Amino acid sequence: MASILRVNTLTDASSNNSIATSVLHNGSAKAWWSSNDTTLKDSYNIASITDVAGSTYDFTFTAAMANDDYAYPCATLNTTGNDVILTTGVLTTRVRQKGIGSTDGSAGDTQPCGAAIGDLA
Amino acid sequence: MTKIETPEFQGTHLWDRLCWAKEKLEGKQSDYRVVWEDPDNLDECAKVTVPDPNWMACALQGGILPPVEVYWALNEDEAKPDFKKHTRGYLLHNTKPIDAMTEEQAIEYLIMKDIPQKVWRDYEKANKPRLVICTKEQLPTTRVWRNAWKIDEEVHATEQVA
Repeated sequence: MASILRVNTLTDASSNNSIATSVLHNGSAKAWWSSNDTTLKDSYNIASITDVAGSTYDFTFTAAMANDDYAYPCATLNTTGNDVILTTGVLTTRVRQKGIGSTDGSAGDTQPCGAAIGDLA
Repeated sequence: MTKIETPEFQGTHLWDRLCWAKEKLEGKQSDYRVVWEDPDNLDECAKVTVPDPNWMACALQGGILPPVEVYWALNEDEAKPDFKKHTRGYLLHNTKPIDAMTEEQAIEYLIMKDIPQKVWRDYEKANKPRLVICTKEQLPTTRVWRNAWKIDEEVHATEQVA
């Protein structure tokens, strides 16, 4: 890296409102994604998206999570009112998002977004 | 345009490398798509894997991503019944990163990283195509009947593949 600031705690000018850098790191999303079908609009720490089936997508990570106990808040923007998302098949390198409102596998739930919050391997 | 030099990243946490890449490199939307079927679940529809633009930029840049064998090692660990958490995550960060790839080489790498080995390991022995690399234009233009998509057994290089 060009420059690294090595500190354990950040604080404001009046020495109030301190926060440990470990808190910042531990509390930040380790991966996030926003996609329109299989076109990733923006992301971080994502290697690929797989269109698994109607309304079902896999997102794989470049840097793996330490275990599969991480949090994975997910959502979707859709056109058919199928706004319930299940997240299944979680691995340290993958999250699977499935919209459960769509049964015909056609147009619904095709704009998934989400994040992974937890520890990295 | 001046090519950005990748810092010496061996030993740097992979997540920090991705931070550098996100800041310095322009994402590359690939036209390539990998269409594949699970040989153990032939009734399931075909799946379509697409590289992430930021990941593709890392692959083309070189010096950022670990060798694919590192992911295989972690996958083996995770498949063990007593797996709790990764204890060999250092492989991601300490193994010498791979050099720059072409887009085609990156797709091959991605297949070996993100698609189950049972799909591609003995690909040439399969009696029907179960993995095809194609372009976006060769896929159906709408998602109507998405759950019925299958790889065309008579697939040819320039035709629609699913």
